[in-house]
Amino acid sequence: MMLARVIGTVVCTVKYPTLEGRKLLLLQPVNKDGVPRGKTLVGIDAVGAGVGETVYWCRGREAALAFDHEVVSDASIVGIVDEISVARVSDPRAHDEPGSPAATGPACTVVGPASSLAPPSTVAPPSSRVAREHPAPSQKRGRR
Amino acid sequence: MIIGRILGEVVATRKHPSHEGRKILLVQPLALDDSARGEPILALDAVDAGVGDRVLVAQEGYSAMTSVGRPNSPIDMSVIGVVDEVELADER
Repeated sequence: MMLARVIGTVVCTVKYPTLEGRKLLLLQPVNKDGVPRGKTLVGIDAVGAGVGETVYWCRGREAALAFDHEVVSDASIVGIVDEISVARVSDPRAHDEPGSPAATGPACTVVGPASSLAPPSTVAPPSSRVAREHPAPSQKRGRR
Repeated sequence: MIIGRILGEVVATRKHPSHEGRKILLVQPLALDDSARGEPILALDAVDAGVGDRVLVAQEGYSAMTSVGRPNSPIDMSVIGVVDEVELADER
């Protein structure tokens, strides 16, 4: 699945019968910071998403499985994003954040709520991000 | 499959019922030198992986939905393993 922002709607009067009553939304794929990445596309809504919301969507054959009937879809919106929590891990190579301070323990920034992801200019600066409890990778519980 | 690093988690209250009860992980695909390759993707968790783990990600529907135990559902990516080690043959 991938993140995207809903930037519009698409209306088709003439369409394949199984698309009747389905909402067609224009999606702009975004990265975890809400910055547009890649080409826009049309997705079919399965969760009641609306313009301006950050959503996650599914592509391919699986997209058609979001609906009860045989809806012809190769991109479906399957969730509305409330919040993205990104933990700082000790390996900076895993991140695309040049210049970010070295990890100092179980710090975690919450990028969100999702609505604040909307235009890149409204993304809160790191200093105002809410710290949230999160287990540091080194302190994790044993795995089964 | 690809190898990625778990950056965080996504919270979604309204989502497809088949995604209920599974973590939605934000995974950064990695190159062989562990540098980031492309944009992060979202995958459902099938192995109880956690933030910071290097993991194996299935990027095809059948394996993804089978691994999380939700057949015939809109799931195109899942985390199906936690990578302990990648051994690269020396080709010099």
